Amino acid sequence: MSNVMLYPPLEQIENSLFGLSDQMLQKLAEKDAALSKTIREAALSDKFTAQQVADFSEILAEPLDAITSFDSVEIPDFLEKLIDAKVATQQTDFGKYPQSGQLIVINQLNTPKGEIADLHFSQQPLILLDLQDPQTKVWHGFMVASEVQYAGFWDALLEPQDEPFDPACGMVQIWNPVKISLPDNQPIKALGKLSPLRMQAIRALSAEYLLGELEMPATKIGYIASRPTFYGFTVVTGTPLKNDDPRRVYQQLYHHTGDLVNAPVREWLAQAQTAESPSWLTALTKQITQTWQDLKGQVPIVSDHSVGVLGYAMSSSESSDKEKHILLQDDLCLSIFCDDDSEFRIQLDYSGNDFVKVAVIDEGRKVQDMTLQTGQKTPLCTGLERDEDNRLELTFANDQTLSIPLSVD
Amino acid sequence: MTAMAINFSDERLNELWNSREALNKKEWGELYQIIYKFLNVSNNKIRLGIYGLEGEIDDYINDFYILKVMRNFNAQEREATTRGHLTGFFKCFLIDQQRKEKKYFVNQSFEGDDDDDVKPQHEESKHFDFSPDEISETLSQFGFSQEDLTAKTKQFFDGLEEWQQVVITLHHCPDSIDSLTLSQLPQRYLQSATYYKVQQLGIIHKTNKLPRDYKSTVIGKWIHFSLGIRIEQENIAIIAIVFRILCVVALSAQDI
Repeated sequence: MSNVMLYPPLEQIENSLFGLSDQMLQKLAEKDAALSKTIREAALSDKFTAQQVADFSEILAEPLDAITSFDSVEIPDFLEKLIDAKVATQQTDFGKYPQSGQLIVINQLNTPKGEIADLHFSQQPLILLDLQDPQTKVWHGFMVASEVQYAGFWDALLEPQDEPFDPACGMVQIWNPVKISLPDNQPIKALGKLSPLRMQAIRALSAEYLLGELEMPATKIGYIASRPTFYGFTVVTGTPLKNDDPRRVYQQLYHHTGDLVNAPVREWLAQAQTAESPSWLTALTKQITQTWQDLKGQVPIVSDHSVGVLGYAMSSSESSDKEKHILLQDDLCLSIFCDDDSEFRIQLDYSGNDFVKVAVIDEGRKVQDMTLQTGQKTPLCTGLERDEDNRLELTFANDQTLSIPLSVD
Repeated sequence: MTAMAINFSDERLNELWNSREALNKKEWGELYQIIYKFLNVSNNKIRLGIYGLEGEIDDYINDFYILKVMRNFNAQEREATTRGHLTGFFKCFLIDQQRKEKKYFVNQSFEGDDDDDVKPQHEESKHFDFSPDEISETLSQFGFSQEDLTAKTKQFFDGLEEWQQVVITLHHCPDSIDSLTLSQLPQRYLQSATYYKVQQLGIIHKTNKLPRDYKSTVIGKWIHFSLGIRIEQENIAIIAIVFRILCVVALSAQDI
């Protein structure tokens, strides 16, 4: 990796995006009873997190030194400027409802159906809203980041003409487009707003990213400068990346964030696109999620890959007809695998504090019958045939039994 | 703000902490004073060496203030925040600075440079590579001698604001391996408050293309109006030479 040191360090950026929030660390330090044992153990398995929690707990347990001096200090000039920018932003009305050009904070992600996706971010993503699709009502936009030192040739820095904007907004990641659903009549929090002319410049740069002939300057990590883009607009960007470049890792981290932001709409679009002729697995998954919602009132999260314990899903950009993972609830995941057109396999993974009894019934006959304790999985239940009457029965510690069909109506 | 005006108490910290979405300038300043005081009084419990960190604790407190305290957008979350909690948050922040040993594997590119058939030209434009004869010839076409233009450039450079001189001298002019990122500039947080002002100054990428509105920038205005060189694409060669001389002047000033 290049020896150029950019600020903040990559590891700090990664932790701010995917690590535990300060509120979660506080709960761990205070041994909040609401946290499950599994969550706690997973968090503390990381040595840095364990140290953080230990130090936090120690601080809370010990008395702190008394304050004996009440002198104030001079606030550094650069901080004064940041505070000025912050206050100017807070005092500006950028509009309460979604509009093109707004820089907004994402506090929760919604599906186009209006359901809240179970995705949690340590640091709230920031997005520049571009345009709303008139048919799907989905908003198209770009990820926005603060780490301007990592700017590449396709990162458009915010400029004085864009003021006021929150200091957390530094540049628009043209290479990192997103699609999100914003419920009607739900206020958003805007941290700034680009003018229509500036939005045209952003779109021009986006068009150049997709279509341009790529006459580029030399790589110079951490360097930014003005340059022309399509249609006569001028933007401020960094330089192109090279192979041994810390900005590649930076982009990968933010692309993963963008992937998560995109997940609810992408999943919805994939389902909508296959609505007329869905694959068998897609149809079964849809049926199971609907059944669960009818029985429990919760919307499961579906992924093509395994879902992490701490609650964020790593989804791929393409829908899979080979496997689906359905997070029925926080501590119970159903995985379905299809290797051919006739048979399928399932597996359940339980991470709760109690237990769940699992029974798989194949044409009236129990082919799997076991009790899962914390952190256990069932063996793969194989040989289930698609066109037979299969069912999954789950009995929880509170004696509630749910019966879920494993065949498509 | 006088010392007596600041209430260094958990109650006041809690009140300001949970109102961050609506603080005015005075209150942000007050919050800074409280945070600075609380974290420094706890100083005998916060030794950077324990965390393998170097530098001054003030810098870390300022980092914490920018990256954590100012960056809070969820007005719904209300937590009881005491000096102990604040110190805990800060210690967690310091421990995060230790995560430096990770090896990353990059498996994707988002620059569009993976296609061998569409290789970006990473070489600098030949317009920025002149022989001495070419420089003299181009200058004389515009009625300049090198000495005369150098003197005018020095006068311009000396009249710039300090941060503008620093950006030109340490960031724009040196070669890639010698150039400092804006974080390494003497004003460590120059990038936080004035990073994007390079556009106003007129720092441009070294390609064949000039931004259309370039003569509205500080450097562009000087070239166009003071030197009398029209900001047009056909004048890219002389403009590049002017930039070259500007760098010579800037780097020479650094050596004094």
